[in-house]
Amino acid sequence: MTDEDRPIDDAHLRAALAHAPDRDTGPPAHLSARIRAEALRATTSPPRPGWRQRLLSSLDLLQRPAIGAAFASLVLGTAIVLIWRDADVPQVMQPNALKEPPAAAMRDHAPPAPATPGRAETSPAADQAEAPAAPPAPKTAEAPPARQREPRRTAPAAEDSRAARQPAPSSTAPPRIVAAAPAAVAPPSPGPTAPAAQAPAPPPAAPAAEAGPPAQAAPAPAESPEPTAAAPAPPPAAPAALAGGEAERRLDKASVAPAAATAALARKLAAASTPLDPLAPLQSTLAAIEPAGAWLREVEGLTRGRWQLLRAPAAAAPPLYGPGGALLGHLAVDDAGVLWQPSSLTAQAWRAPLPATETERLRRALADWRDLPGTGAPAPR
Amino acid sequence: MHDNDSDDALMAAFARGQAAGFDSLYERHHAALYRFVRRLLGSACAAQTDEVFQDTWLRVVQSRTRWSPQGASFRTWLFTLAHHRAIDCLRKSGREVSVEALDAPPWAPDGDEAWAGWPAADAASQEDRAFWRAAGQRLLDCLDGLPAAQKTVFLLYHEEELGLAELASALELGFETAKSRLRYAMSKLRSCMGAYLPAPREAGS
Repeated sequence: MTDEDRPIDDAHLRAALAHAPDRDTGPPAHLSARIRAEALRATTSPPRPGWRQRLLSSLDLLQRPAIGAAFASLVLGTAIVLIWRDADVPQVMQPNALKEPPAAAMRDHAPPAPATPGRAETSPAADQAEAPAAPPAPKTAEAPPARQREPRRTAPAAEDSRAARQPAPSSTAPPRIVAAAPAAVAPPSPGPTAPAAQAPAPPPAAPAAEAGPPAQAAPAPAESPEPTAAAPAPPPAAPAALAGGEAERRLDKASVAPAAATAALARKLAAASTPLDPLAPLQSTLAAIEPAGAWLREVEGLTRGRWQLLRAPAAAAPPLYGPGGALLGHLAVDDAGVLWQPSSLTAQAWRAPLPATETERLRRALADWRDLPGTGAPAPR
Repeated sequence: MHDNDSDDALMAAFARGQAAGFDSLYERHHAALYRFVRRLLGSACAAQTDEVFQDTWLRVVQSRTRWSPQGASFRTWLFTLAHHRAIDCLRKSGREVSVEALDAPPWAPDGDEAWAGWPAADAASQEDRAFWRAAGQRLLDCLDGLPAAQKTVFLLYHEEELGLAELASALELGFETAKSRLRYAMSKLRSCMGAYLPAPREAGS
């Protein structure tokens, strides 16, 4: 108590307070015992950790591999989303059909379309949408519209077992012709020396078959060809390994003898590795070289759904050379249609029957660019 | 644990897990704290005395790890805890009266004339001790009529002998505010005591 406080100090009140009757009053004994017991219990039990201790203990959990990996994945995913949330989807992930409207693509790149019987099968709506430039696209009745956007890699496995039971290729949907997948990402390189693995990109809407309406959707591929020892070279996107695995799994379900199982497995693998697009090697090599590219697109439209795998080796067909003189295969257009056998060791021969009027025109067009001077390969435009 | 250890040392020992530290603290302060709580609550809320007293000590137990002497002594902190808890109890019971509502101009005592006939506080006679016991009871009755804020200041100042500055800091008041409340409280108590408690001489005459 300071001197400043003294003037307001009252000794009489202080004395009265000191003599108050409750001067000796204290807490009840049971209350004191309860409080002391509570204090004793608090000292014997571990003190509740503060928020810092709890935070540190939770961080210790991250040292466990599983929790740490989950947390790291979460952080990484969050970072990726935050960094690229406003970025456009990379072009390589977009299918060619999405880059350009189908009708516009066909107007710009499709060749003049003569009337064909397949034309009459297209839906009226599709006709209105692409009436001026729709290429002749024969449609098979087996092609359900729902499979139009189905990835190609799933088709072989889906049709695998049915193909083995029905070897007659002409009664089912043949492989369709599509542009090779790498063409969408490879820059156009019209140089004649470009190898097949680095194929130049085709024109933006080259795959007229994919750009077509649902009525012209891709037919289910691969009715399976007669299994042979040699299969055509798979296109770049053909998941032969996946299809082979599916065939093996199905084979395991069958109770067959070991020898028969081996042979069946070989046939399954060959069937599974059958390319969906026999002309894929040509597409990846010649699509950007005119007039070979235009010829290929026209053949692609005409032969869609007509390709058949030949049981026997093809008759002698003139060789076809690519840029740089590389042998692409043997290609011929006769009165029955188009005959094509790729040059790879596992290649098989394919035939697409066509009307005589189409074969004659295609034969003349092929002769225009096939016998160009030089290496015998088509010259760059 | 020694009896001459300071409150801060005992509290630090209790925070380290030594229950003896709390026992020593409790032994030192429990009587004064219980008396303070009982007087602060008054006769109307005397039933809550035990509850407020217990809650105050339990608050000490819970806060042992966070407590640190920050200018105020342990005893001041202890009575401040009890004050806050008692105010909460009074508010719940509806008996908390604002200071401003009852603040009338302080009654000006006539110097020490009102207390001129009172015996000395340390008088040894039986008659004088009876007088002071009656005065103490009368003071408790007069305290019931004070607002809790003024009562707190008066009790901490005269019973616990806290300085005005320390008192103001503990109650988070301005110095002048604490001083004003103390003056109002003393003025009312003097008026109450002088008006109803005649001096022994007058009573005897």
